[in-house]
Amino acid sequence: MTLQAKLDAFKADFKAGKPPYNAPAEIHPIMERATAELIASSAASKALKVGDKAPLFTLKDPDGHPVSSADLVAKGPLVLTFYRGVWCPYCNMELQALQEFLPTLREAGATLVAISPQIAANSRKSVRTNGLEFPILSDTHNEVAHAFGLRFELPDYLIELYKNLRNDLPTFNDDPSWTLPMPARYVIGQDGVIRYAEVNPDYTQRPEPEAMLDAIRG
Amino acid sequence: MDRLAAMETFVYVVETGSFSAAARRLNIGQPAVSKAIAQLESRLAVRLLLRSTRGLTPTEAGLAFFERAKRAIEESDEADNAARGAASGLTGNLRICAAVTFGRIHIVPHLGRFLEQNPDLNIDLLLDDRNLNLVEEGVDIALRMGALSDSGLTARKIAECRRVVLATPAYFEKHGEPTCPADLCKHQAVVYALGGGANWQFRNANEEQSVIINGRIRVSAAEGLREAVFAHLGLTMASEWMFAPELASGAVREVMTDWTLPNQDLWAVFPTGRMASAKARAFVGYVQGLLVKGA
Repeated sequence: MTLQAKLDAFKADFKAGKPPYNAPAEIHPIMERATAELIASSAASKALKVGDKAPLFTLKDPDGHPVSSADLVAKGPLVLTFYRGVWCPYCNMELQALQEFLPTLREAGATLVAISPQIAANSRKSVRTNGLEFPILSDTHNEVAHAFGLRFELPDYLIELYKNLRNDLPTFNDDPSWTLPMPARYVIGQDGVIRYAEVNPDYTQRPEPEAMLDAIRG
Repeated sequence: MDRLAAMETFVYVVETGSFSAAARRLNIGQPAVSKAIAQLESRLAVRLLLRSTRGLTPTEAGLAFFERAKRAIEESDEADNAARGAASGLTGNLRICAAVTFGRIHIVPHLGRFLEQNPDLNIDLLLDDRNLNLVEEGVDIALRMGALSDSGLTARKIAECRRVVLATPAYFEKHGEPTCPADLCKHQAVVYALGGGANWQFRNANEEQSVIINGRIRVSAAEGLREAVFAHLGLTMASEWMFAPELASGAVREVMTDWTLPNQDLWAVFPTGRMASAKARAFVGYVQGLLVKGA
């Protein structure tokens, strides 16, 4: 089953109000409105693209060790996945799919890291529950996401909804700003140039991991 | 209330969007403003303002009256100036707004000569790092840095300045000196929250490279940024304007001179819709002269 098929099946259950979320019907039009507006804003078209030079960064892994993108790129192609947080079921399913794909990535000489605004404790939880063998780096204030053109501010009505659902992003991310990255996947070549870029303003849509193989193999 | 005073009151109400803000600008009580507007509407026998929970908005008739009333007031000011016959025509109060550090280093020390040149002029200098509402504050001219977010303003770029990476010699002695963008990943930076944040975009003859800098300290005002740098807490990216005295004295030093960063622009911003006054234009010209000479 492809990643997108899994996401679609989850979305159907979620919208039908099935467990474990038992989501009330009235939340869906609000979430869909926010997604539609984010797509309509063409924010995704302003994100970094294939051929752009990737910004350099150093972020901490969940154990507090600094990880430098320049060091990783020196070893081989670098795969980045921008991850909204362990509270997002679609995002967790994507990380699981990338974990399954990890042996293929490693065989091709690539390194994989996820980048998320959430605090280290939440990343440790995600690594544990999703069984990940790659790190989730802490991007405080979404600075790296911003440099890639992915950071966006949640609209007021979505903040209201998240608060009602007890999805308290300021606590979750230790940042009062209510910003998130658009989900995105990048492959950066050893020359520091972006070889593959996929940005998903609709968080229920994700590319298959296999789609970046050509870019990784160069 | 005479006709001109009533016009002036109405213009302030439309510009500020409220009776109370207009009253503050005019230095009179709010009831006096409400009364003046009511009298004006009754004399003209037409509704000029729509009052709603969201505030005041001019009606179509009010808008037409606003445009002409404003012109009448400006004409009347000009007439006053002409009658006074002041050679320069620069009299009264000039309300200027600028960022705190920029004002302190580059404007205040040079105000003396401008005042000497214009003996009948007084200056009201509002130093604030935030972008104040020019209409509400009654500002004649604001000096602003960086990208202008408010498209409703009349602005003119009057100068630009290099941005550089700098720190104290003591910091470089302890932590080494970066020579390329990748080196910055190993450094601690003090991040100016208003100055573009942590994403520094470098360029040299051959390539462009941006770096997301690690900053354990973020500061919202230039004064705090300067003190953090002087306390050897890290390197920073700033305009040469912000550290002009210390770059000259050697208290801080520029590094990575093979690389350039986007320049810092300085804009003269005038309140929307009002014609820049002669005194505001004269001041902008004076500042431009200072900065071009590299003062």
